[in-house]
Amino acid sequence: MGFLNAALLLGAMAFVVPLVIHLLNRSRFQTVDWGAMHLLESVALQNAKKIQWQALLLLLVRCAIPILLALAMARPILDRFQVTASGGSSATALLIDDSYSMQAPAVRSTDPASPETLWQLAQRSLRQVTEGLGRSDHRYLRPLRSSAEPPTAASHTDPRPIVGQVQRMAPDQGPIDPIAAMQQSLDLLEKSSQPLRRVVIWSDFQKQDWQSAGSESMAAIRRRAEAMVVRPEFHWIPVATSTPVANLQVMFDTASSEVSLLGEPLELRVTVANQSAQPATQVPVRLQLDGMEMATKRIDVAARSSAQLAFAIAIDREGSHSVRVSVEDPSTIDQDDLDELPIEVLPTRRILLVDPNPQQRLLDSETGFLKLALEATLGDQSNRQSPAVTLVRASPDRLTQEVIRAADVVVLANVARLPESLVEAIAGQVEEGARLCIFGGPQIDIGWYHQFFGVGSPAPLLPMRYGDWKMLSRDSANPQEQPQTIAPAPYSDPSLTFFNQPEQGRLDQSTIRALRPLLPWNDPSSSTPNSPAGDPNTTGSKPSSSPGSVPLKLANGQPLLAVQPWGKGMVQQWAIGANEVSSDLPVRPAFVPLMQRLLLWDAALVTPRVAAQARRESEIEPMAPEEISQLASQLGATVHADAASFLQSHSQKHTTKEVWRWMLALLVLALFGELLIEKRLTGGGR
Amino acid sequence: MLERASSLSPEDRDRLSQLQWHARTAVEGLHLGIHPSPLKGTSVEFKEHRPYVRGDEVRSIDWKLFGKTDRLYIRQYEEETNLRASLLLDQSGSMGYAGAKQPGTSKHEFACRLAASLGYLFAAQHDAVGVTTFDTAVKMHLPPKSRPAHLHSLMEILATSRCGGETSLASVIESTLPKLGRRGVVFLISDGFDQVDALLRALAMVRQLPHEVVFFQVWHPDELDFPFSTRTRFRSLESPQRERIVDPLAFRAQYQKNLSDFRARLEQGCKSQRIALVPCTTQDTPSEVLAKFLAERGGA
Repeated sequence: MGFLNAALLLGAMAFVVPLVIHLLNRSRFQTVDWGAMHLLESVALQNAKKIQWQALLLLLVRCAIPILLALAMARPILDRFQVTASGGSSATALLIDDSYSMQAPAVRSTDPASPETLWQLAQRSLRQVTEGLGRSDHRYLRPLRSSAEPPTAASHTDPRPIVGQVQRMAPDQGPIDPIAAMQQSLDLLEKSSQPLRRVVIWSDFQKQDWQSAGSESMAAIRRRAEAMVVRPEFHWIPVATSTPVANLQVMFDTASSEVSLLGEPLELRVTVANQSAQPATQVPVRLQLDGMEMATKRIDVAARSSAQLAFAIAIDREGSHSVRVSVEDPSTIDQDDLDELPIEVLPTRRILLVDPNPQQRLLDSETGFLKLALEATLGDQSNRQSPAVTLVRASPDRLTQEVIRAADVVVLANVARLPESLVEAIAGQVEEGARLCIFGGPQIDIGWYHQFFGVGSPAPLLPMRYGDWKMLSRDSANPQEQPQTIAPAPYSDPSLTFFNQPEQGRLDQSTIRALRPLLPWNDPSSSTPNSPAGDPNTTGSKPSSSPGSVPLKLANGQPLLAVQPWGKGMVQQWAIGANEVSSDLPVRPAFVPLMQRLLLWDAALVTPRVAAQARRESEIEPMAPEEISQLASQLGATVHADAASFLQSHSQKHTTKEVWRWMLALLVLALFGELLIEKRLTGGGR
Repeated sequence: MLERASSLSPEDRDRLSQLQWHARTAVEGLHLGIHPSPLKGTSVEFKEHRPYVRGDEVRSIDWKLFGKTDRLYIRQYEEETNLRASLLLDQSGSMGYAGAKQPGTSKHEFACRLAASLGYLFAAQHDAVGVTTFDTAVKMHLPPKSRPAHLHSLMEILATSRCGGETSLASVIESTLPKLGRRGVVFLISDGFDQVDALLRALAMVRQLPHEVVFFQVWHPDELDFPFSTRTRFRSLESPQRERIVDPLAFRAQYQKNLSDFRARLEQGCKSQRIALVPCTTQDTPSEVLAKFLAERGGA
């Protein structure tokens, strides 16, 4: 026995009121000096005992009245009460799997020519159940996933709105979340007042959905259900498909959105998976950009395997674009026949390369390789001005504030010093969002850099302080003085994760022959190469900036590249120069993408693709009946073959029953009884 | 209380002066009065003729009848005498009840006033009136006399009457019998709270003497209505150690049944003994009670 409103049981304490009144009345009486005792004594002798019993009975009835009232209001329920299905009112949460794996054909299809899908089967079954429930039963319909709807969703005692609701639903969603859905159903049922509560689930029981839920979560739900005043029942009605399902699936091979430069050739790799037992031949795969047909390729995919193909596109309009790839698949699931990939095309970047001697031969100059690398964004169209970048090379003495303010990226390559009038312009530009890239070199006046960009200066842009220029020689006895390579992948910086795939280029093959060590600010005497970047914020500079980081290191741990956000922009500080003198990095293939990503890219625009996770719905692999039974036993759920079986099993069952009406009837009886006894006691003379 | 009991208001005296008691049966008085006597006397009321015998007074011979019948007959007349009224006043504890909530006239007080009224009535008629007060035994006894100063003695006894003690009506009445003297009227003024059978037996003995018996049964309205509602401890007026704590609401019906049984048995017994039972309450006025009783008695 339990109570729906147990707190109201406290009202039963009101029984003390008649008791106290009775006891007070017993101890309080008036005294009358009486003459006709002979008339009184005979009455007392005759009826004293009888009246005493009646008074006791009256007291008991009066005490019972508040107790019965409190009991009725607390809504008691009896466990294990046997009723017919139509006898007790119930609250039933109907949870249906609306993931697109439900588009698979059902095994028990009635019409082989036009096979019924799992969704249609589940819809039919749900309709059968909701119509088979009693008139007083409350029904809630929910998708088998976490719902944003509040748990106080309206229930229906009429099956028609539920049928209409399920007709409007479609199996076009990603993976289900049965645990969240069941938890929300329990929230909902907890608030209901019906004595019988049920959660009925229709699903195709895909392994990836249900087994990932985990037995611990099932046990948690079971524990919660057992702790509830009225324990809800769980009923599963699996809808089964035959495997393998004939289904083709296409998706981009990237887990995140793409960022591209204007006109940059972009290779999009696509995987087509065939889940059927038959090979798919010459399947057309179409690529569309912003809804416009770009290319169509045909591909052969063997049975139960996948194949890849690549599309090359170049987008010459900046902004957000959407690329869609689709495969022609007349069978079953439509949602996995196409995939979309957002591409952000960056606007034209204005790059200012400050070279001590721009008149030098290109490859001998400090910025020659950099210029080639950035212009390589045009690929094989190098005879045209790149739409992605605008390059300006200038010597320090010809720089003006206007030139600096016109640049999105300022590169100082082995520049000894700058006119002091430009320091403020550079700092202001970085603060507004520009990038400042400083390459080390023998000519750099580190005193000037530390004075104007170091810690303690008005604009402490440098993440680390420079050491003395150092040539690395194989002949040196000190291992730290020997040529170094760049630390191999993996790299954690978003701009460099590109290089975590070796085919994109390897940075660790480069050899560093000379460098200007990057040293932490807070330890000027230290020359420990492993020290991390210092905290440039200690000066309390005007713009807020995050602490610097070292995304690239040498193999021996020395910092190679230090970066530091500054205002809206960023400062990159290299230990080496941009030409071939200090390293062979500029002649390596990885230099081009490295510079592009560091100087042109915006890692913040790269976002993970949620669609990629949903693809597991396409991998139709239902659980075996034994596995479903095992999982059901962990939850304490009953597995039914179909709706009829569910309704049959509930035509006669043990359940809980509310008995507040009985309490109310007893209360009315007690009230009448009190009146009768009192009338009898007083002889109707009151 | 004493003054109130023994003194009658001018209204009462006025009303009583208009009343006259006539004995319904013959009474044996010592003096000439207005009441019929069993003896033949000298009144103007002709009673019968009887044959003349030697020694009869010649003046008693009815000469007209001698002329008609030629026989000597003596003419006899009714004798009229005065009445001996004995007032038996109950002053037991139960007569002291004057009400629980708003004490007013007690039954004893009412009884005294009623006795005083009767004494005044009979004294005015030159009838002999006496009083006997009692509880378990006779406390005071004043034999009936018709002298005017006797009324004062009677009033004094009434004024000094105190109620208390238990009731023993039957035994007291029996013990009073020798003091009642020749035939007269006996007035019992009491609540009658005693064993009904014993009381009726005692009254029957009074009737056999043969006295005319009038029983003024005095009630307090509380004893008739039992108007108590809260839990009450009833303590006996006659023996305070006897008490009952009861819920009056629960007892009321049975009490009233007992009351009606008691009254019915008493009424039935009195009727069979030709005793006049006059119930009255302390709310009544003694003179009115007497007036009403005499009116009904005269009508009967």
